[in-house]
Amino acid sequence: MKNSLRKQIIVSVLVSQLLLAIGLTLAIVLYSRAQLRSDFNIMLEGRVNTVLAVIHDAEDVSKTLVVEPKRLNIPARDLVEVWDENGSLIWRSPNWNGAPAAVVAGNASTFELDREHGPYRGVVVHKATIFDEEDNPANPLRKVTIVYAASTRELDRRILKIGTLATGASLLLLCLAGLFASYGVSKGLSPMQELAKAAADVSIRNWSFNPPQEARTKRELSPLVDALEVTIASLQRAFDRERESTADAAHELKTAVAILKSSLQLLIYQPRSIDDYQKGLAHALEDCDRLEALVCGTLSVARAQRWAEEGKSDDIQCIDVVNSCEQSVADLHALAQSRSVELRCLANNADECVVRASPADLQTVWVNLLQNAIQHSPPGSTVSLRVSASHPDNALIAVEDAGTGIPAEHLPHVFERFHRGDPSRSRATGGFGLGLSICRAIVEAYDGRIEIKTTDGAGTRVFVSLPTLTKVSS
Amino acid sequence: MRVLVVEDEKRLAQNVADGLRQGAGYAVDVALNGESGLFMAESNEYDLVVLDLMLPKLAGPVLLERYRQSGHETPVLILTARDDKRSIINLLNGGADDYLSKPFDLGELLARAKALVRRGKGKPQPVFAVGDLEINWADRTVKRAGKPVELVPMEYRVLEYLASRSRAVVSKTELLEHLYDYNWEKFGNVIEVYISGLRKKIDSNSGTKLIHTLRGHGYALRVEANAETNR
Repeated sequence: MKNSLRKQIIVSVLVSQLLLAIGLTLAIVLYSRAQLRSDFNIMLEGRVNTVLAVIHDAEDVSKTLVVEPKRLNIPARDLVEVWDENGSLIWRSPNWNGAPAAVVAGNASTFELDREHGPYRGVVVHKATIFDEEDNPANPLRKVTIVYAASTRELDRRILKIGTLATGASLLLLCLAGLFASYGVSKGLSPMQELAKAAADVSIRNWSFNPPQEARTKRELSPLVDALEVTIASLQRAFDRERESTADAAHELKTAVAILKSSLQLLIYQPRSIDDYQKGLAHALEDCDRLEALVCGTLSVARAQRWAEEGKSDDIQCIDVVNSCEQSVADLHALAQSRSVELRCLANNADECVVRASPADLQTVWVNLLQNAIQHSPPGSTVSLRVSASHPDNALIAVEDAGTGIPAEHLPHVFERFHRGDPSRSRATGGFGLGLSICRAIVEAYDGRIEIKTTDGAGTRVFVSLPTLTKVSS
Repeated sequence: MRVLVVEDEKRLAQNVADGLRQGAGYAVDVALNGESGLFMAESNEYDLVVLDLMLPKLAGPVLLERYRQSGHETPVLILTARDDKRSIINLLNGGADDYLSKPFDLGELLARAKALVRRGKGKPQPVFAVGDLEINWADRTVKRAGKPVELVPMEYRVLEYLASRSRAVVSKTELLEHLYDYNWEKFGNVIEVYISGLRKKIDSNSGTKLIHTLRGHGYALRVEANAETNR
């Protein structure tokens, strides 16, 4: 089962709110308890004063202190003891058999008691009663100790009530907060769900991606929307390119097969002389060669592209770029001569240009570029191949021709498979529009770059830069 | 019959042209790009245009559109390497008469070409009869009163064209236009030679004359009630 983000957020919000509620309730209860207790103490003190007010000295000689219970107006359940300064009991409320001795003797000012009516809380107060100085000139101040305790049941009940109220209110607020959090989170997450739905609607049949407008305005979601848009657009481009290229390949293959098939069918259409058959078969063989060249070209683009992706190739050697170029120039000498084009190889400060590559691959690149240049050069012009060390760790190879150049509208597409600037001319020379694609795939497989620059009517220059080995490792 | 093949793949164009010449006895012109294709199609009278779609300079569909816009009714057979249905539907709706996917069968191409030419002339039957003369378009044979008549290819082509024009008077210029391709020097008296050859083979052994000469106008292939008046 999948985790729900919504549930997770709601639960964490509720847990934090629960903690807050518990803390608040505790604080309320503890504060009220302290407040009520201090009120209780004040009340006890007030009652002690009431007791004090009914103490007076007896009429006898010893002037013992007496308490007149009749004048005492205190709750019947309260416990009172009055001691004089000599430690003898003056009066004790009748419902009590005496405070614990420790309470009276000790210095504690408060004490707790457990009685059958519940817990009691008491105070011990040492106070002086003031008597008329004329009556008792020797000692107008008589010290007494009053022990007074009252039931705390009422106090406890009030504390409990406050606690219950606080807890109830907290729980109610918690429920409300939970509902609100659930609603808020659902509403907050809805653009995300819509975004997911919009993304799920994208398929190879339908590339349109319509993110909800709300998702775009959310700071957390807008980067996701942007990233999705960019990814989908680039996927679509790649997919379209791939489909187009497959369709182009199919078109070329079908055409090549159509030529071969029609040649053979034409040959068997009617009886012919042996001479005609031989000529026809030679033609068919040429068509076969063409088909083979097309298949090989398509495969070598695919292979070089796979290398570029997987980063491996067989037969990697250290190759001197100048050597490799000179060899290709020599190979194409005959072709150049047949078209009255001069072919030159110029090396400029390129003694140290050594690259790691497959020799056959590099030859393929140079031969393709030179063939293109020768085919598009007017008779009597020059095609030159310049090698230079442009940077300390880069070899720059430039192939220049003085042909008609490439029209600007074709320039962005020249490296695409099966692209032909001028189909009639390329076909007349037997090209499939694969040469430059092969070159680019190979150059990129070796981490190099290939660029083409052209001036309309004033020739084309193709630049290839390849990373070279440093002097030490070479 | 004269056919224009517009196809940029030179070898394929050549094979199609040779097939049409050898298998259908048509005069064939070849255009290697769309621009010259349209120019040739508009400046000559063709009985069929075979059109590739991916053409340099002017794409096949554009060529077709302009050709039809300028009022030409010649049947157009499309050759295509892309067989997505939508573009085929668009082409047929846009004035094409038939299509073939590459790689195609040459025999099928010839059969379709013949059928298109036939229908273009308003002749749905594969065998065309004038009186007791029967011309089989498919295998290019001729019979008079049930007996086969041996014709040289050029004689057959003259007869076929006359038959396709449905008893109308066909001028020498029209015959030259439809029976020879671009590369031939056109001499009027060549036609007279073939007509006389045809007369010998078709009319000499029969009481009813079918090939008529209308001086100053041309020729007609038909049964006439009073043959003598037009002699």
